[in-house]
Amino acid sequence: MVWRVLPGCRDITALVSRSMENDLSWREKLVLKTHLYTCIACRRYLSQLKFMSEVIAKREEKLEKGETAAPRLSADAAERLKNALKSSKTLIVFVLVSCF
Amino acid sequence: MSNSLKSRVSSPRFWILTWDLRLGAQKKVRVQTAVNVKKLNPTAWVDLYGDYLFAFALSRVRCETAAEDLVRETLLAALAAQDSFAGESPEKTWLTGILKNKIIDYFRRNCRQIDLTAEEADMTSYDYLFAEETWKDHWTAETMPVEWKTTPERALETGEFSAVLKHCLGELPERIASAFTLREMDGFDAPQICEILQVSKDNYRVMLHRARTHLRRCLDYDWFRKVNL
Repeated sequence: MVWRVLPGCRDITALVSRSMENDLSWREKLVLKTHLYTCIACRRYLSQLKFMSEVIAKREEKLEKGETAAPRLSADAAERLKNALKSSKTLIVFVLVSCF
Repeated sequence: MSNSLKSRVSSPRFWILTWDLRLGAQKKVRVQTAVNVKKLNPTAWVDLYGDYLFAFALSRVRCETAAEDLVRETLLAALAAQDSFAGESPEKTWLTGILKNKIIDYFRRNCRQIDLTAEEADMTSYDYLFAEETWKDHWTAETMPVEWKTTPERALETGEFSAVLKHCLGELPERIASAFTLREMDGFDAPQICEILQVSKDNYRVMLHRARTHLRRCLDYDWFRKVNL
């Protein structure tokens, strides 16, 4: 992307999003750095995108460790899953038995 | 040697047990895991891991029926593939791995469309954030990002924040949410996500930008501006 004039904050936010993926050419990096040097709003925008990335990662960690009040299977759903497993196992045993 | 002693001594499990016990107590743990390595326990799967797998799937597919279907498919596939479990990872990790692949297949099936729809590409709902005159396309004093005076850990301690986060994610159109989820929750990179969702790299960038703009705006207005008061 080459602009004839320096981009405004609206286009900078698109660049900030791409910077999260390290997806910028050196020209774009320069344009972004220059803008961020003088624009506190976009600096905050960048730090907030990073915050969101971290918060989602931490949320996944907490889910993995079982520390959150995560949505639980309803009793009905748990029953359905157990039945599905049972009937699947019975089928396997039946197939094995019928082979002999 | 008597016959009974001979048969006991020749079984490899018994040998491992005695050899390690001689080396000291710290080896005992290793012996126990080595002995249990191939034991899966399908009858306990729903009770032990059902909630976790369901929550994992739900945060990605956002639909309870679909999440339950994915968990059922995972457990059935795991049941059928018990023999391939090599015991290198814990049961939970193995099951989660199967579930992740099922979720990717779900995204592949449900999100196939080469071009972005009009709704997905539409950023006009964010026009009000930027000035129209004078400082055209720059933040206005009222709409510029406010300071988020907290850390991710502290924010997650409150249940309300998690609820707002979930609500904000839920507002995204399906494919945009899928792209964002695959990127941020599962850590896939651009080529992988483009292949799963069958989008071009440019469209992928637009989708992520849209997701982040929306999510940030939602958190800014629905949480941080209210909390800062």
